Amino acid sequence: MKADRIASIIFVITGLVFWSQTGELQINCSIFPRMLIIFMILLSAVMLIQTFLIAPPKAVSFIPESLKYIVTSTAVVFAWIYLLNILGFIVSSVVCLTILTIILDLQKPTIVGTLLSIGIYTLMVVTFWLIFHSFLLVPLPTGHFI
Amino acid sequence: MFEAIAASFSHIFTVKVILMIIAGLFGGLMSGALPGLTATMAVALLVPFTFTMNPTEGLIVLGAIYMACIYGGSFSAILVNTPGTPSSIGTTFDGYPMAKKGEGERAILTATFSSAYGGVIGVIFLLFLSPPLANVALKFGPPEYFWMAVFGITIISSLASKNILKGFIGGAIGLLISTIGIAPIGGDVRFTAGYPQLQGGIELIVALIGFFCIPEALTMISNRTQKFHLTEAEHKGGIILKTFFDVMKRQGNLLRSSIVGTIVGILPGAGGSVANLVAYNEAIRVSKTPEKFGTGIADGIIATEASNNAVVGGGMIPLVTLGIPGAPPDAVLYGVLLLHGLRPGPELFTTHSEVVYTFIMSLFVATILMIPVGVIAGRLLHRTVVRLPIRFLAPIIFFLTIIGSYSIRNNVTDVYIMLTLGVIGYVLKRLDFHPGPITLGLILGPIGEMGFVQALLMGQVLPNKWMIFFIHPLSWVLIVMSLLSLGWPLFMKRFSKRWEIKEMTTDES
Repeated sequence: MKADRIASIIFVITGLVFWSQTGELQINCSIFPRMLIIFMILLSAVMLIQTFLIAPPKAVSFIPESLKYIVTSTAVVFAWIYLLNILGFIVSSVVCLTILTIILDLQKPTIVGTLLSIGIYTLMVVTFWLIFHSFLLVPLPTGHFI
Repeated sequence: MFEAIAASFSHIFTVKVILMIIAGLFGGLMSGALPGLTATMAVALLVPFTFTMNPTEGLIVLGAIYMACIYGGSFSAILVNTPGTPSSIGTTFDGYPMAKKGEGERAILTATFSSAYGGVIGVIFLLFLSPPLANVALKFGPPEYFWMAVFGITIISSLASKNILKGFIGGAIGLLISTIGIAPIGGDVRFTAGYPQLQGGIELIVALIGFFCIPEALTMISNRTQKFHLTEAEHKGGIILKTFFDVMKRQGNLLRSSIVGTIVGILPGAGGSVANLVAYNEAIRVSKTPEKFGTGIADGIIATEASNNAVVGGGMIPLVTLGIPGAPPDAVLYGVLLLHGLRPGPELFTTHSEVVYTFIMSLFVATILMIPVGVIAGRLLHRTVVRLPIRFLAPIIFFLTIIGSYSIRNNVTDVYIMLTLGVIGYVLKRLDFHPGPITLGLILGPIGEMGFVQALLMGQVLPNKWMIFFIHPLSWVLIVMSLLSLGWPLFMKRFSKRWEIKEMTTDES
């Protein structure tokens, strides 16, 4: 319930921020978003009121242990996107895929297992690269490497 | 017409053409199964390969790719809760829960037979009812498009029946996200926070990948104590035939969803992304057990998959009769027809009847061949995903999301947007805001805004410009449909309770 309350307040604030940006727009460009913003703020206000009136359902909780893995994995993926134009598609993908596999491994990673992961991922990434780059002619990011 | 149809068979039933269709089906299935590679992209990317072919063969291959791509989207929707194409959004609602119960193979087979059924119905409509149905599309003006978007939004009351308020807030978020970028009428830049990269708006597919794939991958990571993502049920003999008969028993749902798909396909700009959700909504409304939808039942998969493949035939009706593409991939096919010197329009059936009928009949053959190809590819993919440990599956999903969101516009910013929306989507999912309504808002936002603003401009000639929304009979049809769609779940909730009380009192007495 507390989470719903916070979420509804965030939605109301988001709506107000969006509204503040419609001031200088032409009427044809602002009329539709304004209508949506009013709709969203109204619904969020109803949800906010509901949090005070209705008995709370089960609380939303993030288990700290799993949260640690979620945050780490998300950070790795952000780094992966950043590295695409620096290391290139193949190198950055193989590196980040291997790191993610090590993070998510339930057992302590072994050298053989890690090398096997690198091998499998290299094969997979190169196959995709060949399909996109050479067959479909979709240019994939390149950096210092490919 | 029948002579042309008979002649078309001699073109299709050659080893070369059948092999080309099978190759197209495999290519389409794989493209559809990869989140980010839509039917439009697959058809567009593979156009250059048809340059060396004659017009008929080129169209046959592209038609097979298109049909299979729409169906292939169901694979990832069922196996990893991620629609491969926007046309499979609804398939995640029941396909994934079914797979989680250990019935992934049954879910894929249900999708296969329903897709083939929908595809065939769409082609039959294309073959026999093209001219009258194309006239329906011409009656749709901006007010009708606006009301169609409103009707689409009311579907949320069925999609999010457990918490309608949160569903509509999610829908509003999606609609608002769709307004980011340059306004379609007027051209002002909106809500970009000064980032020029956002001027082009947020690409639907990027948002779709973000809202569906990333939360799923993050959920897998939060459950990393489990070794596998899906449970593998015992291998049951005769599952193919059993599922086939189970699907064919539900003729009402199959036919209704296929007709919904064909009609939505005819309307330019709507397409499979709208059709599958409308058909899902209709299946819930008609069902005697609407509360079972979303728990992994075959009817949910049948509705979405039959409708989205019927869109293929439906979308081609305005293309071949009026020269107006019904869905985005049809726009690519329009270009291909022009490229080969064929001008889509009323005279196409008379001037190039052999090419047109061969193309239509090849779609029919491709739909039938989709069954064996789909069964083989689907079962193979299912076995791979089921046996892949989470430590490999989650990173591979991230990899596919990156390659999928990048390849749309070859832009790294899109990948950042996808991941950011994905993280927001994960938090929203934990707060009980499901991705379905958000993506529905994203799909319908541009259709609704264009219709709304254009209608208001048209209304300037009336004494009251707002009257434009109420003067056409078709608008009233859509208004009534919207009210029905909005009120139906509430009506059902109230009356099912009454019926339950009645039943209990009769039992007691």
